Amino acid sequence: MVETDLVRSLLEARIRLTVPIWSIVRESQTVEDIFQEVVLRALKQHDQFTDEGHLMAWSRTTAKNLAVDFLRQRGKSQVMDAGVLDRIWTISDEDAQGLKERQDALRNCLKTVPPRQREMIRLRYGEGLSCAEVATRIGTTLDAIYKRLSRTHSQLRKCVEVALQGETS
Amino acid sequence: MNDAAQSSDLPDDDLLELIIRYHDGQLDEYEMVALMALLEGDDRALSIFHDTALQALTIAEHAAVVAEPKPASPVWRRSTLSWLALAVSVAVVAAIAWSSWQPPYVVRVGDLEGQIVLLNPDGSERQLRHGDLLYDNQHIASRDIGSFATLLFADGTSIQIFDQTEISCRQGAGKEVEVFQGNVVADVAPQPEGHPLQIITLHSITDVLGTVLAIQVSPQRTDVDVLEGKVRVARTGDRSTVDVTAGEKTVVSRKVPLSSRPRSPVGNTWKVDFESGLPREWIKGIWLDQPLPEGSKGGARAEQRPSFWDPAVTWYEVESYNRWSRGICMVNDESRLQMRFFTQRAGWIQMILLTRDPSFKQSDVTYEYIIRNYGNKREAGWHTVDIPLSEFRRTIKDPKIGYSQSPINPPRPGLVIFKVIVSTQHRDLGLIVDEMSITAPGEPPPAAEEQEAAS
Repeated sequence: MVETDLVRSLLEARIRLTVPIWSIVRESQTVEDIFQEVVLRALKQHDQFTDEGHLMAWSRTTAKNLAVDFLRQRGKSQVMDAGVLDRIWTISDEDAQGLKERQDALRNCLKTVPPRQREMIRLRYGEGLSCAEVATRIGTTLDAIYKRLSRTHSQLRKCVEVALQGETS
Repeated sequence: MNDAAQSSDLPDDDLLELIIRYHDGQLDEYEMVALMALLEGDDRALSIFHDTALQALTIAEHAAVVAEPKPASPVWRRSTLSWLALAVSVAVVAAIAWSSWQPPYVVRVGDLEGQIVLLNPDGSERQLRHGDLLYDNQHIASRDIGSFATLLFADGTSIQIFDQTEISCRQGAGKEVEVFQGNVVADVAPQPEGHPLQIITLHSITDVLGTVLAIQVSPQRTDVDVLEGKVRVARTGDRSTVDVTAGEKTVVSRKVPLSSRPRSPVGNTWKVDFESGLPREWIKGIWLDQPLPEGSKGGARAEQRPSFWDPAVTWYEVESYNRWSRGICMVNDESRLQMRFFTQRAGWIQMILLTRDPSFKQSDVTYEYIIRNYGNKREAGWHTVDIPLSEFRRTIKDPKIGYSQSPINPPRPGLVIFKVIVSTQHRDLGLIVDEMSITAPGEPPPAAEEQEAAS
């Protein structure tokens, strides 16, 4: 594949790759690092990819291996079962267009999150603090953070569903 | 998707909380199995899991949008000159305010030696110096072998960190010290009732009201040795607790029930022969089953690692486990170190012993010995060395004083060896270690340690 086509394909498929990587490593900065590493490795062997399907299959395997390696290097024991990993990658691949639409809707939904919840999710995912650190920063208990985060994710999911239904109706 | 997948009875809120705790790395092994079963067999659970990851990633990528918007400034019609004057005034006021106000620090850096660095969130590092102030949640790491630092809270509580350790400290209603890896001694001043100092690791939370304790953290386990007083240790997985008093220790891991027991004395001998693999938690070395001397079934080839001084330079090392808490063996008057090894060509080999004081109360000390003149320079071959520990020299952290100029200053009897390193530094000699042992006169030959399967 030509290098420019390869980079364009990977950037277009970014969300398909990064969501499963996040599910494994659970650190945004590491997701970025792994995605960049996949692009760099792909560029080094760009002439070996016969088409976009070949590139995507290779990128998926490489990203998965890098993510699992990262967990092992960090001594993290919570590595997903291989079967579950495959299901997560499949759901990303099967609904690539839907994923982009959900993310667009989600960006709008985030603007409707109340300020206190907004601060909590910014600390948790934007700054990458652990839930215990978020609890300390906000001045509440860990269990309360778990409950509030659950509620916020649930509200965001519902908001996205309503937004997508509105688009299709 | 899985055709056989069915919907579980778990309410969405409970499922979401399970997913969020997985994201937070806080599931115990039973919860992890339950989550995996849900994701394997329930399409709805998989969809929610996937959606939550999409949300988390999107929030992270758009943190600026998620951040609370600042109130918009009023638009004033002023001349360019007025704007400039206003900007200068604001800058001056801000500079004065900043110079007179600093957030309260959490710990101050006391004595330190070696590479002790502050890890910035952007991935950069800064070497710390005596007297530096550290704030909430800043990560501090000790990089090189033999490095240490003392961190001092305002109430006199001191936290000593030793080599290859990473921690952060916080001060709220109570003090918190999070140990991500490595070896730490905490000398804790009496804390206010109801607000113990908490030492947090991947596996445990230790409540300390005022005592001295040593903590070693590796990915697999946390060792807590209490030297004075009493602490309460809670396992994060199942929230079981145990009280540990002076002279006792506890090991917190996922596999072993939590209990305290008297600290065992450290033995006088040690042996590792790699016959069926690398021992558990061995740090550097690649197991191989050939080439080996007759009668041997396994060895450890030197593994590459970045140099401590220049990460662009590759070093070659066999590095044992870190047994800071348990100890590998104790130094005796006539202890000797034996090693059978192979090199493709001759060149000097550095043997390093990391030792600690048996009471944990003094800084760790590193000793080294250079093996030379053991064979024909151009020929590959197996060699055996037998070195009295009395010929080791204390490592001097002064680059102007090399090994050859440093005085012989051997480890004193009673010190506890907790790590052994064999290094050829930047020279790839094809080093293979077949076996290593430390022996003492009058002691029976040491038995080789339990090892992992070679596969």
